[in-house]
Amino acid sequence: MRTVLELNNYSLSFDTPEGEVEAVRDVSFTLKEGEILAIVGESGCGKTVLCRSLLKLLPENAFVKSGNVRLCGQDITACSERQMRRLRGRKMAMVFQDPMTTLNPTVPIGKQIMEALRNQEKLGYRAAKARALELLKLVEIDHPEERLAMQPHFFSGGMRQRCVLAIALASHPKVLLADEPTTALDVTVQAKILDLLLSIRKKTGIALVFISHDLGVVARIADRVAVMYAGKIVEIGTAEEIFYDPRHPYTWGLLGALPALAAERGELRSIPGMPPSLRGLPTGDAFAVRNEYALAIDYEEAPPMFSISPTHSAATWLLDPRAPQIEPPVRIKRRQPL
Amino acid sequence: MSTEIILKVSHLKQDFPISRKLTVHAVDDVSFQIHRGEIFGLVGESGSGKSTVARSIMGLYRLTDGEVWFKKNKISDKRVYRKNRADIQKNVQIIFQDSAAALNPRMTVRDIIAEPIQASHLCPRTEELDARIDELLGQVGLETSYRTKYPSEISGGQRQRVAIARSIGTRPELIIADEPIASLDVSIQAQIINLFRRLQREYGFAFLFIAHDLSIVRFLSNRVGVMLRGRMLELGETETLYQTPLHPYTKALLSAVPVADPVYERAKKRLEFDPDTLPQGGTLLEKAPGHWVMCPDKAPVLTGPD
Repeated sequence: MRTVLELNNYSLSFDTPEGEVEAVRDVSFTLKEGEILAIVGESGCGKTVLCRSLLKLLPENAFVKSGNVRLCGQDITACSERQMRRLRGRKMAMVFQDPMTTLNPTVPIGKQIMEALRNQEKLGYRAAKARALELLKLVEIDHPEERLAMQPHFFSGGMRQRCVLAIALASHPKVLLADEPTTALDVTVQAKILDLLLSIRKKTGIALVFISHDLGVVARIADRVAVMYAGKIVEIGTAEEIFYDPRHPYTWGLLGALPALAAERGELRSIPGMPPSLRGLPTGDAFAVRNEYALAIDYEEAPPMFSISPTHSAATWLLDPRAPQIEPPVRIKRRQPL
Repeated sequence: MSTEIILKVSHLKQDFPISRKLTVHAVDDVSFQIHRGEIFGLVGESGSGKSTVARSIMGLYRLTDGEVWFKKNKISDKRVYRKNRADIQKNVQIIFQDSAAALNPRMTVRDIIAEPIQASHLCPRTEELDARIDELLGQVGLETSYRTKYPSEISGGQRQRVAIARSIGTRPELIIADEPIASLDVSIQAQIINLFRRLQREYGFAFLFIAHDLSIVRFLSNRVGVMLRGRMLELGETETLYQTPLHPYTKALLSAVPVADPVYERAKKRLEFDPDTLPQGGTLLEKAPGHWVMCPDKAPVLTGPD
């Protein structure tokens, strides 16, 4: 499997009048062809900024502090806007949370899909129309011929998200960044969109970065999971490792907040306090103040990534051989599939 | 929980005429009751009419048909409502989804919480009122320094806490919460849900909890009603309904809820239900004690053609 996206010690900050905001700090991961990596975390932990920064869709006061991003082998860290335009859509595309704000309400969706094709692929009208039909079939919209001419308001939320997907997939991107694509949808519609994403992955071999705060959704779709906190990846591993053998106290906190796991305990565990402001972060581990398992060293020095297996690592001092052994407070019981 | 019925909704019907030709039947023949101190969950997807039910109970719409009873009074009757207005306003409170829109941006947290207490003439003396406000802030987990803040100065989770403090201030007998946690972050959601449980135990109010998140409703409620297209399709004790759902729509809805267990989740077979196949008429029948299911009028089969 080829690596399509690679981040090495990537840090991104915003320059504001009140000082530097460290939105993404020292993030490294690789994404292989056909792989789905989910990024989870509370709001404000930097998941969306990370994705937007990969496409350089951020305001001008954002700057890359260190590290680099490689897309299909090419270093895109220093790409100009002109060069980025050639990459957006073709190599890497993005789907946002709210399809209503992504689509133009006055333009028929057929035209919106064809716009991407005609501008980027330089297709003629007929070829673009044929390809738009193909795309609508790919995202499983029935009666595509009739629907090409309809404006977004004729469509339900799920169908709109399918159209947005069709536009994102128009130029065969290698990587799709999906920022909470199902959060605004009902559960039954959400389940269908997730199935659709899985079937598109199977058909096209596209790699996905899937941002979500819903761990149930992540369990359904992800091959690998990265847990982000205060701009940093604090734990990364395969879905099985993160759900059945979580090591970072923050991951324990996220899993403990799930109602399904609280049924027998009678109380939802919640992570005390709020995510920290990314301006002027404290020395040491940013999670220490909310961490009931924090050690003295957490307040002095940020923990490095400890490797648990070749695919699984976590940044917590609890994994240091000198640290006390702690039994994780949450355990996901594997159930029998239906 | 007692057997006293605190809220009874019977054959509630709410139509919204859009034009001469088109009428939206938002709620169609919905009946349920809530006992004193019970948490009743109402679930359904967007457009199922669950919020309309909440608003109809609060008297925000003129009912097309049906009745709403609060304790011994038929509050859907205008005259009865007017006669008992003081009692209803003190004892029925609502919490909305979007706390930013629900709280007056020009009032401080103190005034927001004080308003219903003052309107019900509960703490006539200022010292008494201030003491009560401090007590309420403590109960919802806010420091007393929040008294002077405006809604725009505090976070979404804190605003929802203020809305909760406002709603429990008059010690109501019934609280209606319309998607109170939908706009909050995961770990904040957990904090608010724990808060609801604790307050409900302390105050013993009956709670109509409306949400689209089925796992939270399961965690919180004693009984659950499932709505689709303005109709109640299934109603029963929470665990019974979640473990042995009878209506095909409930089954499909439950199977769509993702579970945080990757191996199980990937292998899971999802059930599908097309809402268009839902037969027009139908009656809610008691299939097992306390477990009601919508059955078509004529055909004995649940999904059979009408």
